[in-house]
Amino acid sequence: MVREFYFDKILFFSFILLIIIGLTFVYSATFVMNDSFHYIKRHLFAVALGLVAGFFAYLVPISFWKNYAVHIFLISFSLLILVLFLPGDYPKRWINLFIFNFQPSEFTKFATVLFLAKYISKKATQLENKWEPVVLIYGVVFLFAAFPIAVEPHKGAALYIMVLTLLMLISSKFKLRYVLAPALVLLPLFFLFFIVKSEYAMSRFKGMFEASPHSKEGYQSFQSMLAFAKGGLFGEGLGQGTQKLKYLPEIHTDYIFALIGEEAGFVGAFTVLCIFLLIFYRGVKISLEKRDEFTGLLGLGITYLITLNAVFHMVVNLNIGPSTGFTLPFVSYGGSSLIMNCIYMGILLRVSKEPVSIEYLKIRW
Amino acid sequence: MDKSRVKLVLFLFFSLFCIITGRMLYLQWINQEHYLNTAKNQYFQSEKIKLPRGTIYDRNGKFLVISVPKLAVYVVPKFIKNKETTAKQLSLLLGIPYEELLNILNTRKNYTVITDNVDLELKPKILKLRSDLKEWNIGIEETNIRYYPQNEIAGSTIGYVSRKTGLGLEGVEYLLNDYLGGGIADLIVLRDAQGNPVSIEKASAEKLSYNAVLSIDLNIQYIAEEALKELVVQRDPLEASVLIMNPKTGEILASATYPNYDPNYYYKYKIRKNINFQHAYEVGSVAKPIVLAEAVEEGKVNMNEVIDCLNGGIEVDGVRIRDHKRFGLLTPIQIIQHSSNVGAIKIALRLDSKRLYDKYIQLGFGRKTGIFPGEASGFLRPDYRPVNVAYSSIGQNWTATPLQVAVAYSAFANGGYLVKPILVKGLTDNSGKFIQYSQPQVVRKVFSKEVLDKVIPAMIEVVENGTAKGGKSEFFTIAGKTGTAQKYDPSIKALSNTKWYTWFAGFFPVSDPKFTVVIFANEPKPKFPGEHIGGGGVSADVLKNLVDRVMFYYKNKPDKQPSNQ
Repeated sequence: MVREFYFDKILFFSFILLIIIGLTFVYSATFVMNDSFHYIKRHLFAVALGLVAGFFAYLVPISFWKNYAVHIFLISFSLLILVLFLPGDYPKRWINLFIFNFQPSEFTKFATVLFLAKYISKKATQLENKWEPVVLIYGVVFLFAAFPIAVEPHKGAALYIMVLTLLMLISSKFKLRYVLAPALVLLPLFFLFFIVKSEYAMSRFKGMFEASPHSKEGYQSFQSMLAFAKGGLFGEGLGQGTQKLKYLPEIHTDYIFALIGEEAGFVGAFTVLCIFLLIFYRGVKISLEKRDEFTGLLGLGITYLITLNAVFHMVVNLNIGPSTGFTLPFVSYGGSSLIMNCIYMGILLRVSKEPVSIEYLKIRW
Repeated sequence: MDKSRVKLVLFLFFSLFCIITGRMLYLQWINQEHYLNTAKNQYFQSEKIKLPRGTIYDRNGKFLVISVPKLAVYVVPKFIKNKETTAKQLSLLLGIPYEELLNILNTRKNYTVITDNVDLELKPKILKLRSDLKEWNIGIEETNIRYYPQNEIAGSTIGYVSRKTGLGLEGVEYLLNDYLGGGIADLIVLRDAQGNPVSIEKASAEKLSYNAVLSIDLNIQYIAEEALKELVVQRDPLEASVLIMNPKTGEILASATYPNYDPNYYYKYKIRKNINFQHAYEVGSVAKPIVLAEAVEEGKVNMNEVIDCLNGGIEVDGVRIRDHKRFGLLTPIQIIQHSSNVGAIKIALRLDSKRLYDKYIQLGFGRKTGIFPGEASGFLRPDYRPVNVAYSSIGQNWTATPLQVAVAYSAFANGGYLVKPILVKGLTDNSGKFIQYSQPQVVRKVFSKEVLDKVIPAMIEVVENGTAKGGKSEFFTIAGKTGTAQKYDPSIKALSNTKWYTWFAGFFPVSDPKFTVVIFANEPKPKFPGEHIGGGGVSADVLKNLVDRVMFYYKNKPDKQPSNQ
């Protein structure tokens, strides 16, 4: 058993770089408001809190996550139930923690990864030819995670968890047809029941296809695309963007990638994309090398978690998909998402330090 | 974990990243123009705002006009959802009648300014009202309104500024358009999605903005307005005016006119002219001292001689010109004192007629002084036929503005110099430093001292014992001359015997003249039936109300011994 002495530096610096980019653009997005420092002050506070949380997550041994994976999954479920019964307006997505609003669905994503890593690693030896565990996994994740979130309603996040589960299962040794078959059945059902039947979700789809400054549904999508168009190849310059002037709502959270596209142009947005690609690649690489199955799956899951979030955010921003609230990890304003991402960062760095399987020892990437 | 299967996910993500990159290139490079064109006019809006304009002070630094920053409230009625509520709430907040607002909301469609006279303090309330009602098409703009704190005092002289263009349209406001600034600036404003201006991207070149100091003394002006008001009440003339000038410097201290107007509400008045500068009238007997002075200068008259005034009538070129009274033998001083037409004509006919007309022109008659916009030049055409010389000597057949008369009489007062009248003393910058200053200017010398020494006693006699004795002061000696000109009456195609221009022109105190005063009335009515209308009678009360107040305001000691009755 050989142990890396240091955590992965490339990952670490990528994270730090994203946080710095985040601070820059959150300030750029919000300094035009009445109180220029209202948001950046809170964002700085969340970054500080996140770094501390990330550090503690880094200190937590992997065995802890392994032992308590199911407990954490159940806790996340109870939080999801709790948020539904708390008084407040629809959509019921947040628990007010006074300092910031905590979003249980954010926590559920992590809990789901833990549960999947634990379950898949436990069944690792008898996976090959059985379909029952796959169905069980889909069932549990749907019932205990995706469904309560869809009820909130936060359909984007529910879909996100199902896609995450799919990706984890694809990466496992289960037969591909067992993995894909339920997904092919479930996805159309999901669309039928949750999107077509909901006026709200349908309006988002309508907005995606009819992006225009004059239509009610397509306004936001259009403004987002306009932000990229305004940026051009090299951007309008930091702080010079105009979409933040209430033309593009939620620009500091759900549309910060559009802001980057506007102010830093294609060059800036592509750089951010490359950083995520790097994190993804590094994360996958590290996870594959792990000797312990659970550690590897945990690393893989967290890598997917971060990258998938980023991809969803970018897809929405570029109007490839319908508008739904996804933050850009480490960059967007938003306390609970930033802190959770920092915790993932801590765990992933911890994973990078864990023992490497013997066959990878000589090969340096 | 299956390495090859993970590679599948890797490939999946990589494809997604490629799609994202492709989409970025599409939006930011390939199809960029399309999106930019669609939203070309989203951010910028051109807007016109009224610029602040310089302040106008009187000679003592009192405010005559100031620009006050205000808010203009506008609506875009076609987008107002609930017109009744909006009208009700706005009427409560702005104090504009509900019906009026509702009418605007119902009849107008596009951008309409409801009022441009809202206090800056109401801004948060209006914004709150807008968000409470969720009517985003109520808006406010910063603007400037021109405020005349003295209301109609000197109104016709100061003039006014158009509420639409922000530029002066009359009076000093118009005269100084190039210096006071103001007007409307075109701004390109960057707006946020709710239409609030964020920053000014481009503004049309800003004009210079100076302050102006007038030669008007607000207190003297007030005294003059009061005196004029009384004349108007007593005699109900068509027009009337009082002009007070410093004879030595030419500074106009007061210019009161009737009709007058309040520049704050200029749009409510039909007549907005200033007759002191903009209208010329026949001067009547006011011309006689000039004729006498010319005669003395030419040596054609002996102050001790006696002239036969022919019992009230003289025939010149077959035209009979009459006196208002039958005069017999009069000395030249008595001719002035009692204003005998026959006497004046007889003197005038002795003169070189060309030199007489030259004298009128030298005194500034017949041409504009150039101190006021729209000034009248007066009508003065030399015509050397005896009948016209005769008429000119009694102030018929030629016209002058009250200002021209004041300038001419100032020459009597100041030792014979024609001064250039001054209305704008100077322009100051915002620190109060003069950047332009009107120095008193002598145009030419028109009367010699010897001439004045002989003519002024006659003018003193006019006020002390002559036609203007009703207006004489108990404390100060006044010199002057009354004038009564018959108006041409179109209905009888002749000079009217009931409609008159009446004048008084003079200066005081004689020992050291400080003020030239011209009092004019057009068609004054008799105070009581059968009263003989004349320059003396009409101006008497004005003089009484004016001279002592002005002199005591300037803390002058009486130059007369009080008569002990």
